[in-house]
Amino acid sequence: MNPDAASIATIEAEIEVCKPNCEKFGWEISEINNSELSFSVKMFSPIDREIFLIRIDFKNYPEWPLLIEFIESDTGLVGTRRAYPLSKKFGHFFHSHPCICHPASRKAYTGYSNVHQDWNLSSWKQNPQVGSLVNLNAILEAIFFRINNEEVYAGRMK
Amino acid sequence: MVDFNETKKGNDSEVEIEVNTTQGSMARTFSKTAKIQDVINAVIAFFQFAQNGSYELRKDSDPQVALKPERTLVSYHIADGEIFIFTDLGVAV
Repeated sequence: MNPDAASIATIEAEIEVCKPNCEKFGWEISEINNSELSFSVKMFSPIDREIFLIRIDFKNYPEWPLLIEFIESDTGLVGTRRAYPLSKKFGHFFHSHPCICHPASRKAYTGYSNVHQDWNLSSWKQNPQVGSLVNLNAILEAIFFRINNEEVYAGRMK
Repeated sequence: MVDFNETKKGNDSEVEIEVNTTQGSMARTFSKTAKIQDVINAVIAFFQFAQNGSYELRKDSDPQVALKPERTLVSYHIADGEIFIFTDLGVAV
């Protein structure tokens, strides 16, 4: 199996695992773009009904972590601070760069945002800080429950 | 001879719950006066999650509400068989 086909097979299986949460929490996962190796996820905050649109690129996944990028749902602008949610506790998961600052987020690494030049892409699952965020459903839960908790969620990043 | 009333009395002070995580499920009995944070700590220990992580617990039957760590199980009227969702919100890095 070529690497892209392996990545597609992996992500298809992981999207399947997300389906109960899609029904429960209203996540909308698009069809996979097999040529770009990407798809998008739309979710909203039950607190203020803000819609968050997330583009996920999965080339080289799961050898490398997912490239997770937020898109402004109304303007289509990619990777702006306004596209990102803001947490008021539990660290800088939604980093002001902006990026998701976590070993499971490719954008946090060297060559992307350079926020964590001390992390190694190919050993992301062995990073002691990765916790249980080693698959799509766990990552989407971490995002969703941060925008669905009044003690954590602070609206959009400015 | 078993004192049924005593047994029942003991059971009334405890509750058996199940916690679902992305790494599997944990079934365990807790005192009804145990705090939500005690359940979170038990899950962290059981699955050997990172001690410096950020975690929360929700009822599967009411997943839109994050349970407050400082509150007790009984304050949420938790009954035997209640299923919880345990979420790793990502280590603060």
